[in-house]
Amino acid sequence: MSNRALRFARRRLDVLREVDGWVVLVTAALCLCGIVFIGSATRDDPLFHGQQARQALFVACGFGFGLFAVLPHYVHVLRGAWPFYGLVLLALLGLPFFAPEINGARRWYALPGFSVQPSEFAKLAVVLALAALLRFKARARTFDGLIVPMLVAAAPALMVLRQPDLGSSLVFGPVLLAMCYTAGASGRSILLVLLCACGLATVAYLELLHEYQRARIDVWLQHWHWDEAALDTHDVREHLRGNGFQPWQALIALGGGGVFGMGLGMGAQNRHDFLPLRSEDYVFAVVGEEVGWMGAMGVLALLSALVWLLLATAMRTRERFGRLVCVGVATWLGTQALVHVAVCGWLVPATGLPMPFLSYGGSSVFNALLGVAVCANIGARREPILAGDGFT
Amino acid sequence: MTATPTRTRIAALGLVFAAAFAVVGVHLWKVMVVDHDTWARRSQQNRWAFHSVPGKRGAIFDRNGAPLAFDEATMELSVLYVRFRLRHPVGAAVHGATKLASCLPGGDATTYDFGDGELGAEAAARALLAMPAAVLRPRVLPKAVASELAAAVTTVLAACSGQTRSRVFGAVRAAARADESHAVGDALGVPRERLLADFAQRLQALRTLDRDLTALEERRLGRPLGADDPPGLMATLERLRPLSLAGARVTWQEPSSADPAVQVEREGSRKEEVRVVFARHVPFDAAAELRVGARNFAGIDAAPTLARRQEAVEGTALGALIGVVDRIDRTLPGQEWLEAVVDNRLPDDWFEDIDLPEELADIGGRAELAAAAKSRYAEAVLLRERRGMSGVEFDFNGTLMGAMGMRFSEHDSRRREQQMLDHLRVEAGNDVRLTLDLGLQRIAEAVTKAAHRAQSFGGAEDRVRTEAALAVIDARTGDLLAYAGAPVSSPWAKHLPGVQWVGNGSVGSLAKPFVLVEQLKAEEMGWPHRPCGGFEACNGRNCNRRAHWDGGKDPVEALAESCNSFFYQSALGLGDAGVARALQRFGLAPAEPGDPYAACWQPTIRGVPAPAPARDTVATALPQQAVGYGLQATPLHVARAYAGLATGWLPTLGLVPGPRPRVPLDDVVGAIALAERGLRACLRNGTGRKLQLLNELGACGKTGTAEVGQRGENNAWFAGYLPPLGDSGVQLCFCAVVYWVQDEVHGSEASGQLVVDFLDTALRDDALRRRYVQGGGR
Repeated sequence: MSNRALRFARRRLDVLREVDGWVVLVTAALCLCGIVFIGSATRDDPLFHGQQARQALFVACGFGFGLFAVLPHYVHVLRGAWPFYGLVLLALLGLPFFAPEINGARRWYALPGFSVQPSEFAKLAVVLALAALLRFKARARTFDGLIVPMLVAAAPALMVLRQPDLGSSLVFGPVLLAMCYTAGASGRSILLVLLCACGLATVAYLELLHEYQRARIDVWLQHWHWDEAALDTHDVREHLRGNGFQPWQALIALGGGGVFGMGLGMGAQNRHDFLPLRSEDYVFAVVGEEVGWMGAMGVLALLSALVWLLLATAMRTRERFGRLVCVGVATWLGTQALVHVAVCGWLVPATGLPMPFLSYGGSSVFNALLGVAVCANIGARREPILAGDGFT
Repeated sequence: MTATPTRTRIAALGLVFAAAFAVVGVHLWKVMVVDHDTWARRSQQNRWAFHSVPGKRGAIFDRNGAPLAFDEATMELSVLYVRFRLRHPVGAAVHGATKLASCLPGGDATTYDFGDGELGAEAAARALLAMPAAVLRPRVLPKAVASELAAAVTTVLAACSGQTRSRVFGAVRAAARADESHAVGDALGVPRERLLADFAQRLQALRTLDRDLTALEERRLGRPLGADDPPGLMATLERLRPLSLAGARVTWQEPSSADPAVQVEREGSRKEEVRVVFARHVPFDAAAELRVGARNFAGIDAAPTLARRQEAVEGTALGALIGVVDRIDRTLPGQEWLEAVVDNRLPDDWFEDIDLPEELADIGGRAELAAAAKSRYAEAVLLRERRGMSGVEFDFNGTLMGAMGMRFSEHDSRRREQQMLDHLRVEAGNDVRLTLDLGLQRIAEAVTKAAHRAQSFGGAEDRVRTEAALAVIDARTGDLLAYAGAPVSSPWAKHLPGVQWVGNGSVGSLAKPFVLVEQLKAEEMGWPHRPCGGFEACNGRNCNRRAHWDGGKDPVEALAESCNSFFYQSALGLGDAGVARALQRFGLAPAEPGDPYAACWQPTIRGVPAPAPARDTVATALPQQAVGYGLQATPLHVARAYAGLATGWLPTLGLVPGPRPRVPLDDVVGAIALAERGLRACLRNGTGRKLQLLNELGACGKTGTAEVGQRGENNAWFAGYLPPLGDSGVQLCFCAVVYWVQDEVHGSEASGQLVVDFLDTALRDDALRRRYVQGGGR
């Protein structure tokens, strides 16, 4: 290899020394937790055979790709933001035509040996696109300037909602709000965005939501009034057999875990198949049941730490695009984690939203690792190299 | 790092996240730590369950070991209508077509059914498959209706084409998007005729099943099914169909929580969600098709159960004697009875050894578990155990009834047992062998029915009062060999003719042998009496104008000819005490404690609800008492009394083999011998001389006719016994009665003939003849 090439390579690799080790450590710990608990959740179950191994492979691929995502300067990310967004939109549009119907939904493209879920990539695509839009300070100052960002977020959100995938569509709203807020939007503008979001949610509830999704919300509203006597009534028993079954079983799993849990692989709800989709939508319930409140807080602490580290990266970054990307990724991962845990604890109506890094899913973990890698890339660069308006 | 507005905002975001994580953390603390006990208990309740195992009830056999009643493992078939209309093509077609019709203008009143008519099942399938696929497009119909129609179409097409539901659903959706005119029936490219032909086969399979089950049930009952019998499969589906469409729910009344005095109506599950049993006692092989081909009979389930099978068909005296068995909750047991059963079966230390999680054990989990076990066991006993309601099943319930077992196990979400934690062993009941002979019993049933038919007369008022009964016992042991009555109008033994009585129940001249014995004993002992030699000659005034003259002074002839003059004078001489003693000696009247004949009294017969004999000495004059008036006794008790004449001791009647006390009549051996001569003469040349067969068999017997009605209606009696068959053989002793025969029909023609018919039929059976007539019977 020539000296020039060597110097080039060394310069590229030097950036790895600047990457925040804590981000990598925390992310790796979360991925490891995910692999362990997916293994516990799928042990001895032929229906979920091989998920642990596949998840490990996805994590390895994610780390590998993330490594290559860290090396080039993130200006390339900026340049690729809109093409990436367009690609994802196309992918979402193509789902009704090219994706097979699985369990009544078209969410995955079936490729040889694996499947790809565009809605997961839509989260990163929206973050990058919003960051690209909002990096110009003037845009965020007025409500009018926020209309395009709202459309940028709403378009994939609605497409995801139509799949149907209510859970994933819920992430776009907080990401939009957080990024607009960080970009300097006024309180009034934020309020207006919130109102628009509420209006959209109302329209979605009345027109777009399926019957079973509405029923889940209704049961969630009712369950706050249930006491021991109510649990013996016919109506409540019907709910617990129907739309309330999954969240109720998740609560039993969490509550039965106690302080220290039943032990890894020993969770009763897990072992006896009371938790449907326990390696995906209810993996945190498995965590709570098997390692108790202490273990669950440990996992939450890791996630909080990651969110905090990403926000700290955002605070350190002087360049707007990078800052906004970090805020967007932190909001996306944090919101998703919070909603997942809230669903497991039935704090919010049941919806299928995977836990970042813990739930089984190639697209989910790969995309999350990609997002963290982009943030690590941003964090590793100290100087603002992007000239032009809108930088502070 | 200096605080810029952007950094401040990011920090604010961080605080928001921190607050959100804190809220979630606190909620998890509440659920996982504060309320841990509650959720741990719910986790346990989720997985742990008690499964009851009903005990097999003991069998009832006749004296020769022929089964009379036994538990048979059978299948019980039920339908869950909601599943039937969702997953079976016939149900889906009928439901879907009706839904479709309701969406069309003027189609509200159109409902399809499971019949053959214009709006039958096949018409429903045609209508549904002809539905344009465009109807299923979004916003054409309300979402709920479109979903139902799509589900119905998918079920019909998937079942009739053999393709998977997901494939069919995809094809239907594609057809909906593609072409306005495309019918759903063409979505798969399968010819409509083929689909309809397959549908017709499915429909026919249901009807064939219904027909076969009906035939099985009719064969079991021995008669065609009537309006009172449970409906079959198709009738059940037809009954549930409108309830399903209307969304009808199960309702019940219960006290209001606000005011317990006020009853409020509560609603439960939809009726289509309640499993309805439409066939019981289905043999395993008949239900095999359902279990093996369950997919072809969606919504129809077969579950194993224990059914009580009786050898006797419904409406027979044997059936009434054996009795009925029913689920305990239908027998309205007392709370004390139930608690006694539960306490007896469940040991207090049942859960001592179970490995409970520490936190559950700490919060009284073991005690809770024990309480839950008791409650579950009691509930299972009520719903799954059976007990005898009448007859032998009732009287011997303690012996026959087994003990329910219970498993305490851990199961998964699909109720599959993962681990058995403990169990209570199930115990089968013990068998009971009766003294009845099934062969004799069947003959007795037949002849009493024939006698009832032959002797019924007059209008409805008369015909309803005519009854016939026959009791056959072993004179030596008191074993009840056969007991029949006709007509059988109730499944309860206490309503059997002969157990109850009509009219004044008078036994008529059957009482005369006992009065004669007392007369002879009184002459021997010097008790108050008029000597026979001093009686006035019979001039016919008391004997229906048939004068016996001096024959009315000879005890043997008087008995053979049933001379009322003789016995009137005898009664006047013996007095009340003598006549009472005459009856007490043979168990037809109770004696005071300490009296020599107190032991002769048998007030009850275990297993047969026959009331004890009763006398009316107030309204009946003493002479009349001597000829059987004022004495009400069942044929069983009369047969017992005649067994005393036959053997010289009074047996104790019983339905179960085994040693029973018998009272020796040693003090009247001579008198009994003389009375027996009279009974022999009765059949040879007396009032029973027309009963040739009895004479040929060397039997002894007595006819009796008691006038009970205004127009001379009679109760016609006959009692007697065959000669003994060696030292250890059975000696048949019998008593027959036909209540309410018309005037001029006497004991000989009605009841005597009944006994002759009985013996004649029994003699034609080699085994019965050898057993009871020719010798060596057991």
